[in-house]
Amino acid sequence: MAGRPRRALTRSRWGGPSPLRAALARIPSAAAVCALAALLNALAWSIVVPAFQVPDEPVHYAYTEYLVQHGKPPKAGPRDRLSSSEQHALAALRFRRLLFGVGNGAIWTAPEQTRMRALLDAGGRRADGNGGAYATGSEPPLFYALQAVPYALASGGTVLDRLTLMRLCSALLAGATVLFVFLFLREALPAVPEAWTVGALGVAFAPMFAFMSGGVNSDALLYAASAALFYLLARAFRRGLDARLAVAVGAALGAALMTKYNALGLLPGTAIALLLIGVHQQHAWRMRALALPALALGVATAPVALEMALNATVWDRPVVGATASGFDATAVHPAIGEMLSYVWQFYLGPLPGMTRHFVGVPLRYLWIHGFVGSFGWAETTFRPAVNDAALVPLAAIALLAVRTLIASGRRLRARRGELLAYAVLVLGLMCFVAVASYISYLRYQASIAQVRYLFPLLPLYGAGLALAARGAGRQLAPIVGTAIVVLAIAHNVFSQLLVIARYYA
Amino acid sequence: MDASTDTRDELLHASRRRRAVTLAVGLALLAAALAATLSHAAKRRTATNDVITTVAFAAVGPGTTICQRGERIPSGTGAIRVTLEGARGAATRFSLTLSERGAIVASSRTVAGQEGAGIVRIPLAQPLRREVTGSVCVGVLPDGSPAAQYRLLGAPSDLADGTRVDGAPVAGRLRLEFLAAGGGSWWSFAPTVARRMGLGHAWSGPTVALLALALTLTSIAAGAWQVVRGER
Repeated sequence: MAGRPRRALTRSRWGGPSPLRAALARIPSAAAVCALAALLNALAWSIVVPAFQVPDEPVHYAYTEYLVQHGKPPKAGPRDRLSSSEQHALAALRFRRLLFGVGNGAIWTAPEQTRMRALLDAGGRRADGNGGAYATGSEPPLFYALQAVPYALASGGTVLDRLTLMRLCSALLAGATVLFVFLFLREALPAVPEAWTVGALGVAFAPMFAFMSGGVNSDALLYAASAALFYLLARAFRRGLDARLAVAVGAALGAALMTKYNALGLLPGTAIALLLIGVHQQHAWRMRALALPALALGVATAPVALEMALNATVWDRPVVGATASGFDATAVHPAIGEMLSYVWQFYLGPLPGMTRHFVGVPLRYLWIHGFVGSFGWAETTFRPAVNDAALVPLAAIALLAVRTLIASGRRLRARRGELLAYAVLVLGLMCFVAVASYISYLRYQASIAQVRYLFPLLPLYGAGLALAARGAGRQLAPIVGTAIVVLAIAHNVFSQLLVIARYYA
Repeated sequence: MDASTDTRDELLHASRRRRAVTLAVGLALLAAALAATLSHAAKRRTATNDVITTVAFAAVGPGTTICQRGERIPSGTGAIRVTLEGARGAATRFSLTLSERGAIVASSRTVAGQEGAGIVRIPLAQPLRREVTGSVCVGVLPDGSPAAQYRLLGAPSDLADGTRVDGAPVAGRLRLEFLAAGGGSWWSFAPTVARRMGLGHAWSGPTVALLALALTLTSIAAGAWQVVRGER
């Protein structure tokens, strides 16, 4: 039976229980099936989408290649220089004609395939690139260290062989993300067990999530680490924080911080969550209440401190990588008032008196339309009518979720600290993404708005789906919950068809 | 077994039955929607000339001939699609000539089909039986409105590589799409799409598309099974 520890397989060679096996045995079978569905779906996407057609995939591959070839992360630089090997592969795949060329297809004919094989087999040097110095060179190395394993396993093959295995690794992370989403829902919504599957499968079949997880992009690990963080925080709110759980929370946050700078947006919410849990456990604001939160934050920041030390002493990188990245704001002098105006408009649109930074309503055309589908290098989208039609089920789901929240008023008041922590996690990440986009706007007159940057909040999206299922009432909940899953499956299938038509028809 | 256990079992059974029925209906509707979508006419391109439309690089009027050298038109091509901004008149007539090493291989004169936003589809009299590498010439016949102007959409290029308008080079190349002969639904085009999916990957062949299909179906089956069993 799911949820019950399976003891038979949990003995280590010394006779005691192996912690990893014991942990795996405690995974509910429902969570494992949802994770499997996510893994298989991401794998399907990894095949459907041609090589290097996931956003920034060439530079993420380049970073991994640099790490393997040089034994250290790359150093930020003014431009990207890919290795000869990768350049040959991109030429073989006719990458430039596909990039933003919506009307151009992938490799379609046998002569093109023969040319591709010849160029790939010619190989080329792998150590003469700079690791995507401009786009990713300043980023932390954890995702790339993980991807170094499949890269090394396929070292004797072509670039496509290595990329295929690396995409498989990303798909595994999609499974991990959905597993943690399920576990988060189990902790956060213990009273609605039938809806855990709805939320987890809703995430598993969200096409933009599966698309991103089918490619080589550090976002995949950030989603998994963030989902683990949400799960562990929910567990701590429900069951209390002990030293082991504090270390686990710190490890999840640390993994996120070592994956991508965007995780900094999760830091304030995590700190507030830990503080509230600590104070609640001590029944007062006293120093002891800070001990376990401090332990968690210490564990989270330890790898960051280690990376900074290595940057300064061994790797010859700026101590704080972000100072050499696109987030460097020293040259642009952002004004606080304008920045706040930009952040507001980034999501909601202008208020009277604001300088307009966006055309239209970003909530609709950037975020909702982006979630409905923005594939390839964000150039492959559904027709406007489809995007508009999608507003109907999305609004219905939102209304049902709100209905559940209103009906649960008294129970929610008892958990207001936890809700506050989730709200700060949401606002923290949204503000980080918006401010990063503002700096990009000042430096390059370009917005970086893409819905994938908000996917570290997927556990809350899953919670929204679960609450919506419950919002239909006890009798209708099974029907509405199932309908939500079917809708997600349909969305995923038609998104795959859209991408297939774009590249192969 | 007491009464409360019986009641709980009945509730669980009823909930599972509702989920199963909803899932069956939902998946049947999805299958029907897919079947309807795939029964529509497919784009059925045989190739494009890889030019990405970024600018309108020239404007032409009736009586003008636009020629582009160095095009590779695959076997089976039955029509060519060009984007001529401003081409709205249903009565506008075009000529199309394909030539290889100076010899005309195929030609046609017709009222072009309009496919929205200046996209013009010019059919060939007969589909090509072999690949042609040479020039594509599109003539805007003079029986349209004399005042009509058509802007050529494509990408900037060197004069030497550019399109020739009545023999004079311009600094841009027109985007061309080569379409398969005849109509047909996505169903009939599926083998071609599957064959193309089998290219450009780490391994090649029909197993690529089949594996993608199998993975998608298995993920749906896993999700559906989980929804119905509802086990925690």
